[in-house]
Amino acid sequence: MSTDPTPSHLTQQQQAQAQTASARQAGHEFATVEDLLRADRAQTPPPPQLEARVRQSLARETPPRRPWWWRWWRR
Amino acid sequence: MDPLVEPDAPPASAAPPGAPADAATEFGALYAAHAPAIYYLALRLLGDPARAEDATHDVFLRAWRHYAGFRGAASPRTWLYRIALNHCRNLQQRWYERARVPAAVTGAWEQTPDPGAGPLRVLELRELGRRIQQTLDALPAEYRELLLLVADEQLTYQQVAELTHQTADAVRGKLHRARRAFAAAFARTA
Repeated sequence: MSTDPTPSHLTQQQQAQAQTASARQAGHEFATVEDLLRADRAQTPPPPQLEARVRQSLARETPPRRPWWWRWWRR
Repeated sequence: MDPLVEPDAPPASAAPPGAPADAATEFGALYAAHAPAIYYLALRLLGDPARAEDATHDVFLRAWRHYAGFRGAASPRTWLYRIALNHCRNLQQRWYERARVPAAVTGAWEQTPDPGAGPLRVLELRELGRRIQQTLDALPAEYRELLLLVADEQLTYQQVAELTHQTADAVRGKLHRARRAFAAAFARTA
């Protein structure tokens, strides 16, 4: 990447910085605590390795056995 | 796609050995649908990503062990939340209890000045997690659980009430105080 910015590059950079600054000033507003927590949850997914870890552990487990009445009860 | 089944493996080997294929497929769908919510609950209750990962793993392992007995009387999400809450409460008792706000201080929140009904502001979403964790850590456990459960759009007040062993009216009443306490504590984390 060039370290010697051209005038147009400088302008873009300045625009981007100005946008970031104004976004920072505006910030984010949440009307309720629940909205705030939902936003936090949306940006906090489980770690990607967890699924494989769970899968490996399940593979070592005895399979769940449905009781005899299960099929009858599910009808 | 079943997230707990290896993508290239034939169906017979995808399930844990001996498990009925339909149970494994169903359980895979259960994981995909609810793991984010369970992980988030564990993270915010335990306050540590590594512990939350362990807890989520253990919750799904327990759920698998009892899956045969799950009759669908409760919604799968409520069932998983119940396992997760019990597990996290046990862990908290072992690890955290002494470091948290003691129960006797709970009443202090009732005297917290009302911060008003204004919006909750945060400058950057990156700081959101830290501030929310700090805020939740400062709240009584009951408020913490209530707020996290009610924030899940898939749960009704009645389901939250069942999960927290109280009536829906009690949930509504406590929720009001919990929101106020949260807003006051959140403002202090800025």
